[in-house]
Amino acid sequence: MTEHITQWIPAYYDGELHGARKQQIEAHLSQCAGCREELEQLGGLSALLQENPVMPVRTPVARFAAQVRLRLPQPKEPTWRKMLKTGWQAAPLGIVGAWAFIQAVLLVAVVITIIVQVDGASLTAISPDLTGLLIFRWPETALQTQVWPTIALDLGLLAIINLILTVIFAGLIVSWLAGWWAYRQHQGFMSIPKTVV
Amino acid sequence: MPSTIATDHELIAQARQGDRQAYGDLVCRYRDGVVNLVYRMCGDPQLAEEAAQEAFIRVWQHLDSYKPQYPFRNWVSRIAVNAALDALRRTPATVNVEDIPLEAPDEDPEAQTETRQRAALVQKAVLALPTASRAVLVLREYEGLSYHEIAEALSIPLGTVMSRLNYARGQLRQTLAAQLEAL
Ligand SMILES: [Zn+2]
Repeated sequence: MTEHITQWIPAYYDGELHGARKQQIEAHLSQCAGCREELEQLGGLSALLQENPVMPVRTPVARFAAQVRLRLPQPKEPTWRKMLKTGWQAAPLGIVGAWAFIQAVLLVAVVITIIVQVDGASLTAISPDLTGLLIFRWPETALQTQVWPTIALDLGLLAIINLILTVIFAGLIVSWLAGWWAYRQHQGFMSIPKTVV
Repeated sequence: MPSTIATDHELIAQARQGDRQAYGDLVCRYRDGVVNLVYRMCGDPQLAEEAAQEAFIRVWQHLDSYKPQYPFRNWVSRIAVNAALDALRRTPATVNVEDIPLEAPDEDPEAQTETRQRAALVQKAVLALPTASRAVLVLREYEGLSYHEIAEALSIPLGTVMSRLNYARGQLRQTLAAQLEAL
């Protein structure tokens, strides 16, 4: 007879053994009454343990659940979700801010355009860098003879740019509002029956 | 309200979204299991009720870390056993094993007494185990957790799970020898 496998019996009994080891234990058990007895003892103990009483007095389950619900803290929101939410809430402010900034830049551009076209030389004298802000520059020859038509063209160009940007920003605001509305609808749907037990 | 009964996973998903109603339903389903586990750990109904509530609050707080491929019941047991251990740590002297009545007062003496008495002896023997071994035994014998799951639940090595389980069973076989003999 092979050596007794006493130390493996609990793991075998608890279903923790697999493969070759399990086969080895089973082979031994089929030959050894002593080890079989040990295994049966474990089964007997489990059966006896099932007689351990369950909780005697207990709160009705609905009341228990209500008590738990009253004690529940607010669920912790994941950081990424919190950041996303903050970003989403700040989005219209960002859009309006960006639009205002571009309006300011365009206004400055208009002023500079007029000054440069009327008296280009004086501006260059004040600050050569500022001429870099010009959106569109006409050749020097045209400047002398066609100042006002040139200004009209420049301003028209700026107006078109402004219009396009304003439409884009308006579109962004509208889609944000649509998104917000959809989110509120979804929220409402998710949280209809919030009755207190 | 949908007429079909929601599955556990549906309720878990809803609870994760912050739906307290759905979580309440989940609590109703697992209440008995958790209360019995905790009661077997501490033997005091008052303490068990309190620890069970604490367990469900922790389950709610950690729902995000629950992996759906893992049995929810086992995951809840894992939290519940730790809530019971914490409750016992806070109030270690609440249960005096000697105080557990061996007979229920208003029972038909003839028919019920023997089983009742044996049940009380079993309870007494389990509660007399050191808490660390008792936790392993309860998770294995009553909750059916694997050694690996027990090791994870109690944050102990696998070898410790086995030695504590063997110790607990050895102790119980001694204290309950007469009852085991009679089986
Ligand atoms: Zn043997």
